[in-house]
Amino acid sequence: MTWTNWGLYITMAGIISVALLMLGMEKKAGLNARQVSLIAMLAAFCAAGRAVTGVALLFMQPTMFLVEITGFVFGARVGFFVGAMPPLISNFFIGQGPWTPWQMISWGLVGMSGAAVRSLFPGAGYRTVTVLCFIWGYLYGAIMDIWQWSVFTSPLTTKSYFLLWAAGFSFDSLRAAGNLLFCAALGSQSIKILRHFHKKMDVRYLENI
Amino acid sequence: MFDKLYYQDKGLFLQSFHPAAVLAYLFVLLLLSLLYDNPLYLLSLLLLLALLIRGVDGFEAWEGFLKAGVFLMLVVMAVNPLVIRAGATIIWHGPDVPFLGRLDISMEAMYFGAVSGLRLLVIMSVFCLYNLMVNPDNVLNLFSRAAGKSVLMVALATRMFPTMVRDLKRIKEVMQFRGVDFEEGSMWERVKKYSCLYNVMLLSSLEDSMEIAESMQARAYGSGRRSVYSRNQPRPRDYLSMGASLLALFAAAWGLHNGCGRYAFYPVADALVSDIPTLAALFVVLFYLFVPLILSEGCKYCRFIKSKI
Repeated sequence: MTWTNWGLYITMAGIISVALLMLGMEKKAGLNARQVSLIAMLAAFCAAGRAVTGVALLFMQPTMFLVEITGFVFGARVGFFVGAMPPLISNFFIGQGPWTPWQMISWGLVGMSGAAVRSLFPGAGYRTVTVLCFIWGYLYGAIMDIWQWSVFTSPLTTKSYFLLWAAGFSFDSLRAAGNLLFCAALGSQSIKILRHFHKKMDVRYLENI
Repeated sequence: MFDKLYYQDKGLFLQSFHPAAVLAYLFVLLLLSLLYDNPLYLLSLLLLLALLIRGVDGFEAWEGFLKAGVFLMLVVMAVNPLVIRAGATIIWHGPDVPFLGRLDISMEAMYFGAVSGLRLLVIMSVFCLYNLMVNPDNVLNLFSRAAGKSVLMVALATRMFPTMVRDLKRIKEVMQFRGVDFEEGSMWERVKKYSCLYNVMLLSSLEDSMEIAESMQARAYGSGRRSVYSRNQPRPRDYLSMGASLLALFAAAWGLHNGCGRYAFYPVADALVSDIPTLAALFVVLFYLFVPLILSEGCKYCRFIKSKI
């Protein structure tokens, strides 16, 4: 009966990973007051979008694209924080669970992938981000299915994982379609707004130059 | 809409524990729900959780949590019988399906699916209790020494969350007063209207964040090493609860090491109670886990206990 142990290991791995990632990012990033308040505000914005409209819009996650764009504009660390916090905050209101750490990791990775796109393809625009958002719709479901598969399914085979993934395929498709539509409709202006604030925040004092 | 699910200070005894004691207790409950296979053990944990949730006056919130988990539970219950071929009691011989093979559904696989659903209910109830029993601000304070900035960001964002929802309604109303009808027009026109609402929301939120940053700087944020002040001092009730949680964990680990709480579903499911030690181990673990409830009842009816804890 090793399956329960795997459920426990995967859950614990999620909790420890997210704690270490947040701690490590915090130490490395050396966040100033502007960054702290901006991250908190964007995280609250995404959390509100996730909790208020997430269920009404059939789990379309209308703010996942904003996390991607944040990473794209502000870089990996800010992207990770803005991504990791909305599941934690919105789950205070819609239900915490052992799934929260894995949701935080997945959303954090969404933010970091935005930064990765910018560094790999410096000329990339909102169209590239939109395609990535669409892919994340499915990838997010696939990552979260690993947790569910390890805790609630036995035996742990590729076949059982595939079936679980297939059971959630319609929801993953809705999420991917939502990401695509929201990013296509709002992505361009969101990038402009965030770039404007990125410039505004990038204050350097004369003595430090 | 979210108020019922969120922590509300009702002045109840179970809400008066130190956050560290509550986290230790709930962590043990979560571990046990993931470690135990025996349905009797899982059912006992669910009953204990129901009593605790009643103790924090949270049946209404619990109902909401359970409703949210029904879909996940149905998926769990449906997928298991389809993929498991280990059961001996076949109750339905299905057709041959490419990739999956012959779809035979066994009684044991359905039983396992139902027990997985029960496990899900226990896990959801643990987190429902977390929402009702402990103030999230106090939990965040607990971690503020280790990760001060992360905790500050989570606390700020949690505070801004209801404000954000209120702002959304306010900005929408202002736009409606200016003649924007969100329900009128074609799909594309409505998308354009909502896109304006989104832009205003995003811009106004980011401007607010700059003001918050200035206010933080004015209050000397980042000027030196931060200090931490905690008003939450542990009391005897917290030591008792933490000790009981640890003892429950040790008793459960000892029991599992000796086969109490383990359960085989395949090829034929074990008996629910195979021997006396299985019941004895369950009794010991439950006794320790009942300590917060015992203290709560003791406080109600015994002045001596109330004065000492």
